[in-house]
Formats: sequence, C-alpha cells, structure tokens
Amino acid sequence: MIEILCAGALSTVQDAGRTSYRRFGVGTAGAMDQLALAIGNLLVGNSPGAAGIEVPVLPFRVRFLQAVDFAVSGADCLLELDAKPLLPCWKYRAHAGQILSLGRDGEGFSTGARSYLMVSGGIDVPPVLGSRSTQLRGQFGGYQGRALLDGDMLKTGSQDGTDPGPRDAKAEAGGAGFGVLAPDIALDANVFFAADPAASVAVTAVRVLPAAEYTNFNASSLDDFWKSGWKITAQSDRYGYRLAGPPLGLTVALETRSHGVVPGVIQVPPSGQPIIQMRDAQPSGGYPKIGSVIEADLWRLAQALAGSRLRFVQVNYPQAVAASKANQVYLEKVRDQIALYRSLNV
Amino acid sequence: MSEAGARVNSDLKDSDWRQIAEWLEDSDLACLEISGPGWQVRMLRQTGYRVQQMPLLRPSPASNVIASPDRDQALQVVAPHVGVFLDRHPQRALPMVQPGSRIRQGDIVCLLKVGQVLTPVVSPADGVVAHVWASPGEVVGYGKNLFEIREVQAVWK
Amino acid sequence: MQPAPDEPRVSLLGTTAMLFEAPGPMALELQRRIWALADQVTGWAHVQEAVPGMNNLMLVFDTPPEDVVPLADSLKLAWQQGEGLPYRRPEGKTIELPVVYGGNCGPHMAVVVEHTGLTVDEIVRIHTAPLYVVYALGSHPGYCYLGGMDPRIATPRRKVPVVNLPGGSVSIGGIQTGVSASDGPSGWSTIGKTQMNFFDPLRNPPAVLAPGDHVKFTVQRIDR
Repeated sequence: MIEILCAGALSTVQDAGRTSYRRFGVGTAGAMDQLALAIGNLLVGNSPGAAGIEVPVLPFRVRFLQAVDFAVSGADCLLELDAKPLLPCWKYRAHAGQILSLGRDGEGFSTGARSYLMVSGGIDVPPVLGSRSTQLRGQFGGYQGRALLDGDMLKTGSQDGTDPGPRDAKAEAGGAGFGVLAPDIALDANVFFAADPAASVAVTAVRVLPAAEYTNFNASSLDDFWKSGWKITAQSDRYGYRLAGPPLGLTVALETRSHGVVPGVIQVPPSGQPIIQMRDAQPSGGYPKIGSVIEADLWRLAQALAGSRLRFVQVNYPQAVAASKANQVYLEKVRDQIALYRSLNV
Repeated sequence: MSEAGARVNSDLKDSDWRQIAEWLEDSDLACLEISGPGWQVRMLRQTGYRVQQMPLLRPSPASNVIASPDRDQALQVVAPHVGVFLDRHPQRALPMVQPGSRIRQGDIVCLLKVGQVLTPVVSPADGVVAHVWASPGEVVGYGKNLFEIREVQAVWK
Repeated sequence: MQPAPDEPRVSLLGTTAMLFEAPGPMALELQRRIWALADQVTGWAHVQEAVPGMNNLMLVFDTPPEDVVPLADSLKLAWQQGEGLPYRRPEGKTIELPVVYGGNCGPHMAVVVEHTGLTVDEIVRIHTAPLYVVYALGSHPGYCYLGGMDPRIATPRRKVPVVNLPGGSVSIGGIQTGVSASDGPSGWSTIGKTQMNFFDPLRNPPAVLAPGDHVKFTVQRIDR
C-alpha cells in the first residue's frame, strides 16, 4: 500500500494504455513516456506495461506502508528516501514507513517533464476495458478515474508475472540495488539531431512523417514548419501540446471530415497554430493534419517541458520504422541484461 | 559467437553466454572472466569469442574486498566483476566520492557499467577515501583495485 | 500526390496507423461500405483495430508493416470489390433525444444564426427534421457522429475550441452534428442540451449506440 502525501497536480495511474476501444470513442490514455514506464517496470521486476504513477508536477511525496521494490524513471529531479538522496532509473527497496519525495517546493525537474514511480507488483487498481490507465474524460480507469489527491491510498499488487515479494536476508544485504542507462543517454548514438546550440532555451528535435493534408499547406508555411523552433505553450498537457510560432496557412480552405487520430498527429486549426495530439487526445478529429510525430519519438515529446522549443525533422516511413526498432532493441537489451544481472548476482 | 571445443561447466545457459557476448561487444572488451560456485570461465574476443574453462580462484569472503598486506589499516575496494568504471551516475554532475570523502559501510562509492546496466560498488567499511585507482570510462576487470580506504572503523564480514 | 477525385486516398498517421478516405461527397451508401470494409480488415495482419470515421477508416497497427504499399493496395482492392455489394448490417435501434435548444443550453446558437442567416426556429426545425444515422463513434467515449444533417445549418468549426463543454451538448461542426457524452473540450458550435447516458465502461459493448443505429432529436423547449 502507498499513501499519497503530496499529490502535486495531474498525477495519474497509467500503464501501457487501453487499446482496441477507439471505435467506441475511447482513446488509449497510458503513459506519455512509454520507455520510462517500461524501464521502471523492468527494474522492479514487472512486465514492461504494468501500471505506475505518472508525475508531471513537483513536488510529489508518498509513504510506503509496506516493504516494496521501487524505481523512479523518466524526468530527473531531487529524489530522496527519508531525506537520503537517490539515483534516477535505479531499483531500491523501501521499508514500511519510509517516505519518498520527488522534488522540493519551488524546484522543478532538472531534465525532462514527467517522472514515473514504479513499484514491484504494479499499482493495483481494477482494470477497466483491459487497462489500468486513467481515462480522465469519462472518469474511469486508473484511481477512480481521476488525478491523485493528498490522502489517496493505492494498493500495490502482484500482476502479470512479477516478483513475488519480500526476499531473503542475503538479498536484502545486497540492498544497494542497481540501475540502467536512461533512454536519452542509451539512444543518443542513433540520434542525428542535438540540442540547438544557437537556442537559449532547450530544443527537442522529433522526427515527423507528413500527413494527408501536408501538400495543402502553402510553400512558405511548409518551410516555417520544418525550420521553426516551435514554443510549447503553457496550455500543453496530456490532451495536446499547443505550439506557438508562425501561423501555418493552407493554399485553399479545407473542411476535413472527422477521422481517427492517434498520439503524435499534428493538427492545424484555423488559428494556424499547430496542436500535437497526445495520449489523452480525442481518438478522432477533423482539423487538417500537417504531419505526425513518429511513435519512436513520442517519449521525447513527453519529456519536453512547457516553455521549451520543438524542432521537427522530416523522415520517411522506413526510417520511422527503424527508429521504433531501435527503441525495441534497447528495451530488449535492458530486459535481458537485468535478468542476467539478477541471476548472476546472488 | 563461436564456442570452445570443450564443454563448459557452469550454471549459465547458452543463451546467457550469448547475452554476455553481446555485453562484450557493447563495451569493446578483449577478455572477460566470470566465476560462479565451483567454476570460473574466461571469454576471449578474437574473431569470435573463445570460451575457456579456468582453474578456480579462491574468492575472498566479501568478494569486493582484499586486505592489503603492506598497508596497515587500509582497505582496497576492488571490482566485484568486469565493467566500465564510472565515478558518478551519468545523470549526476558530481562524483560519488573523492579522496578525502568520509564514507560509511554500505555507501555506493562508484558504479560499474555493463552494457545497459549500472551496478553499484559498495563500501565494506566506515572510513575515508584515500585513493581512487581507476579513471572514469576505464574498463576494469574482476579484482582490479578501485579505491583505497583508510581510518577503517568497521569491516563487512 | 493527390489521387484522382473518384479514387480513395490512403495516407499514414506516423507509423501508428493508416487512414483510408472514400472519395466524393459524404454519403450513407459510402458509410455502409466503410462498415463492411472495417469488418473485413479486422483480423488482417498488422491490424490492431479498424476505426470507422465519417466516410473513412483508420487501421491502427499492432506492429507497423515493413512495407505499407501491399496493405494500401489490399485496402483499395477490398473497397473496389465492395462496390455494389449489399451490406447487411442490422438496421439497429432508434432512440429519441429531447433537446432544450438555445439560451444557456445552446451558447453558440447565435454563431449558427449569424453564419446561416436563419432564425432560431428555422434552425431548430431543420435540425429536428431528419432521422439521423449513427455513422461512427469517436471523439470521446460513447460519442456518436451522426449523418443526415441538412447542409443549410452547416457551420464551420470554431477558430478557438471551447475548453470545457458539458456532457449532453448538441453541437454542429461543419456539415456534421453530434451530442457530447461527457464534459470536455470541443471545436463545435453548441445549439442545445439533452440528457442521456451514452457510455458505461462496465457494459459490453460499453457504448449504448452503434454504427447503423438511428437518432431523432425532438424539441423539449426553445430558450431565447
């Protein structure tokens, strides 16, 4: 059991997401940074899609009411267990009564925009339509279909073939835990873009495939789309990232019909300011779409802070598929190497 | 990866050996020694990996400590396995310890990177860090001296 | 490259999904073929879910195919082969929705009045006349996209979407009309309010209405 002492704002229980109900108007929800979710889960012995807590606003504090393995992945911040500093992306064992805090009053994330608290056994809330993710619009799934509040008590439980629980004294003595390389370090070698040295604010580059209405935008707008450092406005969240920059215009007015939409789709409403659909976006919509952020880079978007800038990099389909494969290879290595480390480290 | 002609007696499966070979590729190591209860194996990288069964070395009771015979009241903390020596976590600016740092038994003094995994090297004693023998990014083998600790107060058995 | 006007268009949504759009003006006959296509592709390799839209179909991938061209070609072929085939989806049920039009329940009625040049009474009469068909669900849990709205009351989507529209809002967006099933943002113009439970996540299926069902709006009252 975990007691929420300081819920921050907009902290929600999320897992890998709710698939196969889009045709009923139910979007996927799920962790914005699917890599952080998977890594945190693998560290504590869960299956990669198990449910944890997504924390987008600091400070955030919980009390462990029972001994449990835990890890904090995703964005980095001041991490403390009973005031002892912790490492990120690291498996620890908490004892009953210990307090974990992420961040301090007045201090935000040092890098990234969302942290994930994962515990062995996962967060035990009832699955709804096959997932433990929180569906905010409609108020179901996750913890009572809403963001967490101070005083909430969350059960942790065995799910999906995870670690059985307390271990023997010898393993306890090896209680220094272990960690893994975070994606932004491990995946860097394959990345062909970097922070813009000319920018004063951090720039995140993400790869984009053009969408159906791409050719309906005028030439100078297409140029602006690829060249601009788009500002992620404060009105950006799990529904969508609203960007500020040069207005994008169509060559002729379009009224597209409502069609299915997935996370990453970049819509351009009449204002000309793009909105990137995120995990809680409507599963369908009708604004013209200029492109779609590739699935492999959605985690980078998730870790881009409001106020920072985005740059879009054009790729083709085979390159986008290769990028997804690179993520998969990384996760498989993490999974296999953690398993081997555990088996050798008795 | 190629296999040695002789059968390897160990607790590890073939798939484990393949995984270890991948670790080696990730880290550009030329040689890796691994031991378990009653066995020790060396893997050499040539055109593939040759696996050699080695005669067993007797490990010390706490596998990451060797008491130096020539320095009184000093402890050498050694690498418990092969890896890349890191003096700090990749997401942290400051080294975990430096010469002069006062440390306690159980503190993590450095990390070893093996593929994607970061493993802790833990101090067996209370004391003061006197020397750091390895440099960040250096590939260290099993038993390599990493730290010298003086003013030793308590030692793990 | 734009396809010829009488050919369907296939495009990608990143590596996550493929979008198939039927050509020509919006039509119920095309929507029936979309339902048939959805039934047909469910179960194809790489297809996690087939999601009908308004005269279009989104195929969400479980894993993206190495090459999308064969899948796109198969889709177009299946579409062609469906032409003229009668599609036997049960006609489904009809529900009546009493609506309070205008006033506080229809905060954007004035927008529709201004765009169309019609009076509130005319707009209400035109909106309540048809027996609407549920074309598809989407947007949010239980929300139905309805076909059959008279184009005389079509009103473009809002330049700036509304942040929080209450559940039960009856709205017009472009040439479409619909009823929101829960509170949330919307880019459509709201002309009235109704009460109905459209979605229960513990039910199977969770949505009350399905493609092929019918909806009739009736006038509960008109507020000015």
